[in-house]
Amino acid sequence: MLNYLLAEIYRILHKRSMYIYFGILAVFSILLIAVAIYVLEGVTAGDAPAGIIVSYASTFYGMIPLLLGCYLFAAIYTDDLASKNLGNLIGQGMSRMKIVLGKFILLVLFCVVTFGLAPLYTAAIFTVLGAAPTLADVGNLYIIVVQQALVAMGAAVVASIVVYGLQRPTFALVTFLLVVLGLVGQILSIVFSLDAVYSLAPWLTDCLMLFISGQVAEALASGTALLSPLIRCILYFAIAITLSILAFRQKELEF
Amino acid sequence: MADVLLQTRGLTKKYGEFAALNDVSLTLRRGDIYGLVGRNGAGKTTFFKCVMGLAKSTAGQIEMVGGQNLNAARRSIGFMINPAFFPYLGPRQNLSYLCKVKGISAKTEPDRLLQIVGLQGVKKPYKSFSLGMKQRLGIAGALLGSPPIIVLDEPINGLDPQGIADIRNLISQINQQLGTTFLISSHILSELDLVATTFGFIEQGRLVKEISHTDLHENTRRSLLIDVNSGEKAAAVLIEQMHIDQLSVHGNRLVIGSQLDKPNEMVRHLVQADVEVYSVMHQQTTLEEYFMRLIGGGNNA
Repeated sequence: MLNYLLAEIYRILHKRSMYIYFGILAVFSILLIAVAIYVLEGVTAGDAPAGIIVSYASTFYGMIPLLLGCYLFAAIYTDDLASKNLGNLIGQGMSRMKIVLGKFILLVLFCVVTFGLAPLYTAAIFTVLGAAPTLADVGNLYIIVVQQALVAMGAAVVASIVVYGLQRPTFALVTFLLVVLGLVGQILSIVFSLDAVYSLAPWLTDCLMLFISGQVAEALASGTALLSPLIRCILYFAIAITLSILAFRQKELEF
Repeated sequence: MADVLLQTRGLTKKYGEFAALNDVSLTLRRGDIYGLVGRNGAGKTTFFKCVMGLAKSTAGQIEMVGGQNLNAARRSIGFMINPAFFPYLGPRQNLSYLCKVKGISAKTEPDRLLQIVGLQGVKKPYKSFSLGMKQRLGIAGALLGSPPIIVLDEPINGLDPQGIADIRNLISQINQQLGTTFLISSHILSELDLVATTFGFIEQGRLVKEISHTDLHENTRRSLLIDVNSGEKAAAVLIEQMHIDQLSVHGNRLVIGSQLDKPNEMVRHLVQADVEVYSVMHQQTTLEEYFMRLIGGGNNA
């Protein structure tokens, strides 16, 4: 497993398009923050209002699961389909379960690094542009980012079922987009709120990642018990991973 | 089982009612270069997919040297079933990736293999490769870590004549120097004939014959065909007069496998015995013709 993880990290870090993509995102972020500070807030040098960074993050961090998550999902999951690498791995004696678990570990790893750097990067730009945030502001940024990272990871693990079950990169990416944009969650929450469904299982809405991630963020912000949403979060991932393994075992690899 | 590295028994793979593999029992012995021959769609790739764990067999058994755990045993097999690499990585990076997956720590291994397959110094990404270059890289991937068994599915597809000769020589060289066992599929029998020591002929999912290289050539050697008015009488004359031991009668045609340099003498004896001789001709069954006969005619092999 460790060999596989090291190989995957090597592969992803040698993907030139990743550096181009993140470079573009970085430049785009600078422009966006400059617009937020100087145009939207009308700030002149040195008079940035307190909490401006949190206000910015509340508005624009909603795009992060899409912008970061989509690329990471493609790099971690669908590249294997496009290059038919899953066959290489299984042919070399790797079990399907190890592959699925390895991918999830990679997802967590890359999400922690990329999402973890986003608030620091944002804070640095704000500082350079003359609107230095306080430590509390940065803490609030991290709470927002944790929520968005959970949304992205939730969408990725659901879409990974399609990756292994259908082995079609396009279908997998579309699934990821539909989930990460909240369309699937919205539809499901409507279905779950129907009397017939609600009376049978009133807890179903609580199982959606949109809801779980919100609860995690709320618990982090208010300092209340984190255990319950965290357990639900872990269960969410565990169920999705189990379904991925089952789907993968059923599906013959294509060449 | 000591000398048997891989054995399948009654291996069957069905897609609905269609049997892509039907009761295939194949034996791969240490040091063999086993050529699996069959037309396109005969079941060669499906067989490899089942052996390598990429498809689940419907019935039958696979046994590999190295124990009951097939996944563990597969780690000692290098394989190429359609070259599959990351399009944005170069050849060295793709091989380095596979080295890491396999836990091969030697940093020089990718360069060594690229040298062997003639891709040394190539920097461009895999997506820019020609079909032949992809095949070469696929073969390099199969050779990673010098595994004791190498499985190659149609390794000469897309290669130019020089490339085909290079790969053929490479397979022979590795087999002789390292004792590596090969299982190779192809629909080009004449190419396999130059390297393989054992052949398996597969048609419509069935392994119709396993035969050694020597026996195959015994079956495809030259013969003399003589058309006469009475096959039985002619056969009796030639056996009595010339002691021909390799002779068979097919209606009014004699098929003779010995004393092929004496057609004049044969005709003289036949005429003297009042047998009418209509034609005499030499024939050599080619490997392709042998294959066609084996599978009951059909398209090119």
